[in-house]
Amino acid sequence: MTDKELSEKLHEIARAGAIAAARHLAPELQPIIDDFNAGKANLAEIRERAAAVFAASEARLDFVMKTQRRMAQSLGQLAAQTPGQVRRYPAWRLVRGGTRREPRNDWEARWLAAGNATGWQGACKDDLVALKDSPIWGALGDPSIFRDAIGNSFPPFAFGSGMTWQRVSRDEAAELGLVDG
Amino acid sequence: MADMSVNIKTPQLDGIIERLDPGARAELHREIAAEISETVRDHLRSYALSHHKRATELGARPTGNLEDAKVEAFSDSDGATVTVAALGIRRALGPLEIRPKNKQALTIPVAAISYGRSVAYLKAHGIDVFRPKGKDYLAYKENPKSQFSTVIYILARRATLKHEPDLLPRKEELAANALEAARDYIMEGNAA
Repeated sequence: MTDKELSEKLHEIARAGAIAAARHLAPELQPIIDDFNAGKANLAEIRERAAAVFAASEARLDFVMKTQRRMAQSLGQLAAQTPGQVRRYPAWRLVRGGTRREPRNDWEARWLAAGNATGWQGACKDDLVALKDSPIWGALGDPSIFRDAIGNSFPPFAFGSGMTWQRVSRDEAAELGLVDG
Repeated sequence: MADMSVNIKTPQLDGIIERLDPGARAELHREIAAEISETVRDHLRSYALSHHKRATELGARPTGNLEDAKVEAFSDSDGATVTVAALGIRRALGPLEIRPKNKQALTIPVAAISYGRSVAYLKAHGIDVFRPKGKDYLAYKENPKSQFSTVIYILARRATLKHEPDLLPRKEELAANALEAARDYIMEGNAA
């Protein structure tokens, strides 16, 4: 696959993700979440507006809104995958992107399970790093493998997860044996 | 949202860009915008992980305003733009004065219960928030029969958030990364 083809594939994932996000969203929350994503209101204002139109606990409201916001962030990242980006940064590392009171500490075990499920195609066994088109990303978000998975092949992979992507340079990906140097 | 211009013009680049047709110029700008957006995204993530001082002090859950900020890249044959959608991001460029919108005073949270929650939200959830006579704060009673109340918001006509130059990457870093993206584009033979 050429850099340009990979770039287009990642854009297709972004488009599909945006459509899926819109389909699953409570319509009454959409304009509020749009304002949240656009940085037009703080969390206090957003919670107040959301609670007025969507009957749910604060935890559930936060979950819906923050999941949408994290998805929007990831979709923006996927949309930035130009041929040059995938050539110079061919892989992603799974890293903690947000603090949690009680962080889930099973991501290495999940990585192992997802890697085994996909034959470690384009993925490291010793580090949470994989090529941008590795099937391990889809496996991490696959509800048939992980009960709390969302069905995304991009962060957030699981309910309430703060794990996200950090780009990995071609030099580092070569050191890890993922690409030729 | 914040505006920050980064000038990456160099005589060599200018000469090459001038020879590009509009389509190639748009591709080059797209590469630069993508590089800047990724640089900003990486920076915000690492900044946010180490800057939860206020929430930590109050024993509250961080709002995630920065770590989940949406960063978008736009470009055409004329140039490239990257937007960062995060409240208060303008602090990166200088002190930011905030004033109340559609109300008399800002309500600055000073307790875990009020952090990330508005007065109306707390009242809607059965918390009796009140302003003691003559005081510039709002309080509530954990136990309605108690004579003691807890201060949960400070009222202020305005507040100034201090300049946080480290909130965004330095201009020099952005310029260097943008230049690297441009060089890579050209080295790949796209400017031939």
